[in-house]
Amino acid sequence: MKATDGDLELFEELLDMFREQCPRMLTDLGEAVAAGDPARVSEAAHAIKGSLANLGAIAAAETALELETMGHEARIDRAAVVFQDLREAVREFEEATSDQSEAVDP
Amino acid sequence: MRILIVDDDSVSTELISSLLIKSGYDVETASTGKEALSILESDGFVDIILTDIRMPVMSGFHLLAYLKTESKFARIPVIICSALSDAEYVTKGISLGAADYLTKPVDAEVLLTKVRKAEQMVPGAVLVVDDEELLRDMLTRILQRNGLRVLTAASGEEALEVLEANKVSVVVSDVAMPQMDGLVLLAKVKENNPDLPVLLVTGQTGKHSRDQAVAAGADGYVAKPFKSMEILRCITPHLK
Repeated sequence: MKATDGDLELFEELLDMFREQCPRMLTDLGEAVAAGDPARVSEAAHAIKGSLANLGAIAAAETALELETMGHEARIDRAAVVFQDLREAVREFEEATSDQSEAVDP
Repeated sequence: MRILIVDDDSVSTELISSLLIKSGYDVETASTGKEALSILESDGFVDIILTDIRMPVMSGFHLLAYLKTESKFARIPVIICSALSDAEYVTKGISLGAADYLTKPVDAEVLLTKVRKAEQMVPGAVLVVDDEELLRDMLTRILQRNGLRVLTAASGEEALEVLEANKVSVVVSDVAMPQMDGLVLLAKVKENNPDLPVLLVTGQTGKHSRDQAVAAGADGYVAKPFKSMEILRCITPHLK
């Protein structure tokens, strides 16, 4: 929670912003991957990476970085696979930070 | 300009707020110090505070003293507005950090003169420039949460337009943006206004690193991922 220095309310606000805008960003990235456009893949992955890192979603941010690097180096043959990994990592992060996850914790 | 009036006397509040609204100010009111703090703590951005002294629970002096110790509020000019006109109260108010002292009943001319003077003390905004909406929103919220006034631009071109029309103390810009990138924006800002500080948002390493930001003439950098205390340390010295 370094982005907010322990300010839980602010962290929740940033999370809400992320939840709201993440689908659009993932759609952009997915379209870039499907179109096989390395520059767009790199750009879209870079944007998601920054937001994830700010929220402390390290694993997901690293996966986004992998896609960003692939796009940057124009070797996107495996991009679709890594994109699925990213979706999964984002889903896990969202699940871990949702209120429901706390409810099932004993 | 948004002014917060803190007074338990609704008639006085009504009178002052109508004078201010007539002169084009946005007005927010609170009938207790506690209510004032909850407005300040929430989203409500306030440029100037006018406070009464004698109020139940938390006096105006108490509120003033608290605001001056809290870094995110310390920059807000506070004008005391009280029926107490003795030198001892005026002296106490000013020594606690009040920008000015106004006695009730309020004279419209005096009120507006003092408010305009306080307006000069209000620091300019932080201009956040990033083409990526989510990152722009996140940085904006982190700064607002810490009491800073924020303006935003989604591109270098838009940033230059915002600078034309607003008082800005410091520019915080992303580097990688389509069309005009952060380095070009930096050069253009410095060309028009060499004294306006520009901070670039950079990663730890890579082509948009902090060394390059400084080499390009930036006044500093804001490291990614964001850490709110570190960001504030970089930005607050530039607020004027």
